[in-house]
Amino acid sequence: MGTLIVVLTYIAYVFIVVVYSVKIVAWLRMPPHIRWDLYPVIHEEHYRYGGSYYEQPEWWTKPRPRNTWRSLLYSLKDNFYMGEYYERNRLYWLFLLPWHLGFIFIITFHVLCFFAAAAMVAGLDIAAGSAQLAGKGFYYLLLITGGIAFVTGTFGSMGMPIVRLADRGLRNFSMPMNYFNYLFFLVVYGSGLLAWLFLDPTLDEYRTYWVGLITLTPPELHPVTILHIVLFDLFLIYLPFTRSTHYITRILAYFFIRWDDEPNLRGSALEKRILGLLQQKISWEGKHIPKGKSWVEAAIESGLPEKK
Amino acid sequence: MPQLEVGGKSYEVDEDGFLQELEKWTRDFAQGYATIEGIEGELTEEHWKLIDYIREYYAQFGIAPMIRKMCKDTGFDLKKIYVLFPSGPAKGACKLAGLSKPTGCV
Amino acid sequence: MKKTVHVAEFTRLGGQVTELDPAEFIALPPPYDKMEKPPIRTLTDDQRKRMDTTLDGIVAVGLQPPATPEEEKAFIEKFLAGLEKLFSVEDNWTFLQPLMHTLEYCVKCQICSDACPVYVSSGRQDIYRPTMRPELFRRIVSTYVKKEHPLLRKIKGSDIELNWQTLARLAELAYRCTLCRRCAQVCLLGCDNALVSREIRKVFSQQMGIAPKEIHEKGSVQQLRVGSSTGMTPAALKDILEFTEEEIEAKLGRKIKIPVDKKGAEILLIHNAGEFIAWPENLEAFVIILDAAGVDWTLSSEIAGYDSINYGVWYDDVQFARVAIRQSQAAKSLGVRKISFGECGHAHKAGIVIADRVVAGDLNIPRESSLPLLEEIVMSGRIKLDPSRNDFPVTLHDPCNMVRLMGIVEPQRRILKKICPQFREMTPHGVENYCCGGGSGFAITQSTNFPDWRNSVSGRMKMKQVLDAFQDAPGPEVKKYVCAPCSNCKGQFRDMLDYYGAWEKSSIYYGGLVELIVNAMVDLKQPFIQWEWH
Repeated sequence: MGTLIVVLTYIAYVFIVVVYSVKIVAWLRMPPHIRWDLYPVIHEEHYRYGGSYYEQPEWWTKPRPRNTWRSLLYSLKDNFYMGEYYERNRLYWLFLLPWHLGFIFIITFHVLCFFAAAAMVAGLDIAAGSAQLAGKGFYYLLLITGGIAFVTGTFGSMGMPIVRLADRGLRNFSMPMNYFNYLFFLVVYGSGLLAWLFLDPTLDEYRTYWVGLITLTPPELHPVTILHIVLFDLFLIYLPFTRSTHYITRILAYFFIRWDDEPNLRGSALEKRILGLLQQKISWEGKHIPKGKSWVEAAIESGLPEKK
Repeated sequence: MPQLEVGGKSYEVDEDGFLQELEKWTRDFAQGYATIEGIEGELTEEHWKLIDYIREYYAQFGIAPMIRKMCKDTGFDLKKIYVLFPSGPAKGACKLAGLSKPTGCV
Repeated sequence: MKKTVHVAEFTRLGGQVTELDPAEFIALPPPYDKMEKPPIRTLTDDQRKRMDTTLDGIVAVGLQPPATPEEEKAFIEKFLAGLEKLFSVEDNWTFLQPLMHTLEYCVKCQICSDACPVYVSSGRQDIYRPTMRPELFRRIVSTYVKKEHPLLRKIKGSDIELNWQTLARLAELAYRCTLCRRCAQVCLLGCDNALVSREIRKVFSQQMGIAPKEIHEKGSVQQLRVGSSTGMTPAALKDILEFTEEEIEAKLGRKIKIPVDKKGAEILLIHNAGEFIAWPENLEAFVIILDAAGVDWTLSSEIAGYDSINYGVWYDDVQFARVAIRQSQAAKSLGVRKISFGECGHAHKAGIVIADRVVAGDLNIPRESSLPLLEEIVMSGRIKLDPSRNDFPVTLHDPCNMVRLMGIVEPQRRILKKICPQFREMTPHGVENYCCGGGSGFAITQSTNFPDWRNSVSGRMKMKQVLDAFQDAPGPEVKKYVCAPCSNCKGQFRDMLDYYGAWEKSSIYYGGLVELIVNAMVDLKQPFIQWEWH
């Protein structure tokens, strides 16, 4: 059993990292598009009211100050807060936010477990009564992140199907997969919660598990903890098949679509790429579009029928 | 394309009754259409003055005249035009003059 | 309890997916809560035979039913072939990334629904939810383009069986969204359901040659043929400008020669040619201001050089590129230093922002909005202004294209605050404004019962905002002005104010920004704004 979870865990982590990376690279590799900005653009100087550099005469002669840090913080903030939901559908938010916090914290918890185990291998004693301050700190950090993950995840997974069924709009746009997800995630978080509350209140078993992973020695664990770990590994493998990449792609969409206000200046790298894209042939079949011509050729023609 | 019966003849019009074949326009068309538009009786000299003005302008420039120019050149104010053509200059007068529906951001 | 409309109902043959009930529309303040005439005309039986009305009884596209099963099959196949092109880099590099993102990552959480004025105004009809058309679209893609396994489609609930009528309804539904993109603004995932409306329109146009007449055949096609979607030829332009000069002379007491095709001028002003015909006072005001401020400017008489419109932005990338290139060519041949766009929202967004990645090299002539220039002139004191001449309630409408979609928010406000003592904002305003209801070509779509829908549904939220902004003086005894610096929005206001009888009931008038500036100019003996032209 111990060997199984070591192998499964490695497979699960490699799988999720690879598939996520492939998805994100594919997203980023799509060609530059026509500008489709939407204000407020947060890196802009007048982002508070949604102003842009177009508010000044001869904007191309003026500096265009950009605050990338502000944009980054703004976009990350909603991974933890989801303000629009709070404003617009509070009941939904009440379950949606914990549900999402469950994801963030359970992954954080496991990553921290890895570091804790690495520290343990290096000789740190992690316990409530540890003589080392770092050991004490690690102990409580793990207890808090793990606890939050199990509680919020379980709460969210139970509430989400209820609110989805209760809300006319959400219900109409639900798919069977939504309900499967809620059930599956409930089992994942719930098993973790049970193991924590009744068998492993110090979460010591996870450290043993991670030490086992690092040292490649199958750990000895309680069957309920093993159940949770197997479920969690399956959860990691399943995630790439859901829309979960949106934790990352939503930020990409902000930066590369909604806030992309980069002007196409003469002689720029962007202009070069655009000129390349305009040379591509189009195959649209509308009568006003010439067959087998490139974007440039099609645009130079007027598309009007020959004079009769 | 919808067809419209006016004075015993059939004309091709758009969904809102604007004539699609300018060359088929006759004075009978305008008179016949006047009844449909709720103008009672024979079209008067004033009606014809406006219709002729619109048609002449269209023949020269390919569009309906600006309403202000129409007022200035015919001496009718906007109120008067609405009295003559209750649907107004574009939907009433131009329609009777056989022009197609105005297009663009007008 | 309201009846829920499922996506599956779009595939049902015959009948209407939704019956609109004016009693369900959001309430307007009295006396507008009681409309005398039925708000939406029903079409004749003959029209219903010729055009598909099975979405909501309204016609914008009005597809003609196929005569034979073969015709139906060919239609569906051609459409599906076009759908595939939407996902190819060659055919759709222009919007591939934003489209893919929306299709992949929308979780259908519905928070965008309440941001949509069409959905809310209609009394929350499911078919108008911003998520509805992308969902229908996504299912077609899943089943027919990606050809996903039937079991996977079951799990994802993305199975659909297509027929001609589904596509006819999809085409109509793509023209029930004003592309105001309020839905996209509230999306935490960066999705843009309004873009999906545009992309659906695009497949219909670029692949099938299908679009509302006013937008394509009489719109962009006519512009490329004669120079303007109004049908105005260069000769007609000349006649109109001569008349405009006479009008200016009558109002100002001196003649100003309107510069046309002036080589080497500083600025080429590209104005909406529809304004010249429908609201010549806007052009007059521009001429008076630019002359008084000593600006070196010109108009162009070249094809597309005198009409700023670019309807392609609403439905067709190729038509878009054609007009954008011709506008730049007009500027290039005159050797001007920059192009300035007059008061027209979509022309701003199209010509300044979207054209940015279409024109390149020496056609990439600097392009800007005329509003910052006007602000500079007003603030500099170069023209003498007396705000007391504008002492009536004024509110400002934000054209979506200019404000939410390109961030020009404050220049127009700073001008109004300086010259209109009774200026007040609508709620909400700025980048959170509501569309006038005429966006994305709706204001020019004038056939059958579409204008009724536009006035009573898509514009309803704006009408309510306007009435609310003037609630301190609701009656007809106080004249009020809605400032809308956009030709398209003005067209919508003209129709909508007339539809609701707002002049008779409340003395609400509408117009542009420059008219208010000139109305405040001390040089003019008479007020420039002529309320009798309501």
